[in-house]
Amino acid sequence: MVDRAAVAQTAPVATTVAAAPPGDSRRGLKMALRRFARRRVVLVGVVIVAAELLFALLVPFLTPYSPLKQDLFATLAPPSGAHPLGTDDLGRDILSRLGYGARISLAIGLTGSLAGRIPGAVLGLFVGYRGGWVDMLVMRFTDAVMAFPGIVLTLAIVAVLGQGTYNIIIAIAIAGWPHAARLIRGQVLQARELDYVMAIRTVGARERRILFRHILPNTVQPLLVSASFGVGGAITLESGLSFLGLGILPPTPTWGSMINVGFQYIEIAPWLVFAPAVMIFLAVLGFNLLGDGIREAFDPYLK
Amino acid sequence: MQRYIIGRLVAAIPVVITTAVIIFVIMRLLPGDPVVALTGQSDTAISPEVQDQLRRQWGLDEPLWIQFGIWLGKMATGDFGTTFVTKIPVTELIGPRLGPTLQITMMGWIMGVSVGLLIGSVSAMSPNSKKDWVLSVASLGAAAAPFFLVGILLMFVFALNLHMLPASGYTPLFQDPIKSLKSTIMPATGVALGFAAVIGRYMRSSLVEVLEQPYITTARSKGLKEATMVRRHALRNSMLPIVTILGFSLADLFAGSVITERLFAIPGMGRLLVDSVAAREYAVVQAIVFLFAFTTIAANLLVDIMYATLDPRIRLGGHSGR
Repeated sequence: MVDRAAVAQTAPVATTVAAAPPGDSRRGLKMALRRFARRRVVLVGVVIVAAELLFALLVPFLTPYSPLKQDLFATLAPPSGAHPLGTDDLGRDILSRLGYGARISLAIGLTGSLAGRIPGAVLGLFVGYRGGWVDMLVMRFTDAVMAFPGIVLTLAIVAVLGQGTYNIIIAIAIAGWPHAARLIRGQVLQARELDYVMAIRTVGARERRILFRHILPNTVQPLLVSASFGVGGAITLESGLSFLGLGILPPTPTWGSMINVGFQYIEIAPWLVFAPAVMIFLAVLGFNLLGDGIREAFDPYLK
Repeated sequence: MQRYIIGRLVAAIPVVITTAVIIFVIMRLLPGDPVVALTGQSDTAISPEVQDQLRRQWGLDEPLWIQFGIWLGKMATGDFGTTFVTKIPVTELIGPRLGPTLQITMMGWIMGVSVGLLIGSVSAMSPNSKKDWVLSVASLGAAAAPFFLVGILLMFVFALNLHMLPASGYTPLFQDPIKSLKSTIMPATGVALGFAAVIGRYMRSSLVEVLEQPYITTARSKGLKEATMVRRHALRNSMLPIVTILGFSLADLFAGSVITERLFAIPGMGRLLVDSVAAREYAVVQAIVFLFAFTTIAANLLVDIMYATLDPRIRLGGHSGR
């Protein structure tokens, strides 16, 4: 590894290094977008994610029922014209609960993923660049956090903080940051050794400029990929917690808690379980495909 | 080799201690006074004298780091404390729960690894074929399905509709092996499916890469049959990167057991954890969370050692592994 202090000393004059001209990077982005759009699997992911988001937004127009309104004369009703997906044990409209549940599950998925990945990435960037004992300490710490199964760690945190949306987001973030930290650290370590970074250093670019201008951009794409997969992971975690009855408190609808309730009636009213189950599956699949797509679109070595 | 093993062992100790610190800190984040939180009574319900007495009894009057030291020392000797209400030693509570969880996790692990390696190799041997495409799509689906979805689907089909397997309950392995397998096959599959998909995708990309190596071309040009060549020359090398993910994946399998044990009403550690969280039995929660983490670290250590025996470059120095 290059001794950074020595490099900085021998090159006191900060030469302006020609970064890629703006036109170039825009063309790169356009090419990446084109590659992104060409992949059919990716389009499936985009369509799924867009459909789930639209469903969450437009649910008030799709069904006249409130997700909380009980109708004790129409409990466990099978799918019909009045209730396209049937009703639950308290006569609440499943379609409506599914849609409002999507708002919560997707919101927790997105914020839970980002709340963990962004601080994790910043830390990874820092320790990857700085190296030394700080790096070693942080990496051992991520080892320890990652030794906890995700749902076990979130369970313990929720047990202590109490149930509720914000606490679940915090718990998901705490379980998620080490992944981003390790990933970005690895990227930084690789990027530091790239020929052009060495070249820029040789001509005397300042360390901070190298870090932000030349190494940081290399970490954006893997971070996007990781965040996209993280959304799927966060949705899985939240629905798992809610399924165990330890997530979002009733009567607020979330997909996991709908399965938790519906599971008691699986023999007489299986739609109670399968409707939210399909939503969770599609959401996780959609964000996974999106992540795959971003990875392949920005990978210059793939076609 | 011996030096390498000792080195890894020593390196694992601070990680184990750190997991204990994390658990300790989380448990101390309990809002409010631990006495209030642990007794579940409001401040005013207990007289200050009793509160002080309880504090002394639980060692809560000592500085935090001494409390931690005492707790860690007790755990090292196998003393995980007692439950709050019933005063049952936690180890007594956990003991009978180990069997079911270990059985399901091991079955899931074996199924996941073998199925994953198989579909990964099939895909890699004819990349971009129809077979490869079908397996890839199936893997994408399996990887996206949360544990409880797979479990519910299996239960719905095989227990509730086909009546082939029991929907819930657990039979110990040594009591009746056949019945035991029947009671665990669905939870184990629920745990294994996503894992198999991940292993399969790793295996595919790894084997594809190996098959492009010059020494494979040599083996081919010697006139070896493709299957023989893959078995004798490519498989071992392509499995190396898979080995590295086996350790951490144990954490995922444990996570699966938490969900599937609840689903199939299996009296294992995961179910005990969920029940203890609901009942606010923090000593039990601490113990189980620590055991899960500890086992994962131990598995990682085993994997590192296994990796070194498979790849002489690691144990003979070079880079230090993870």
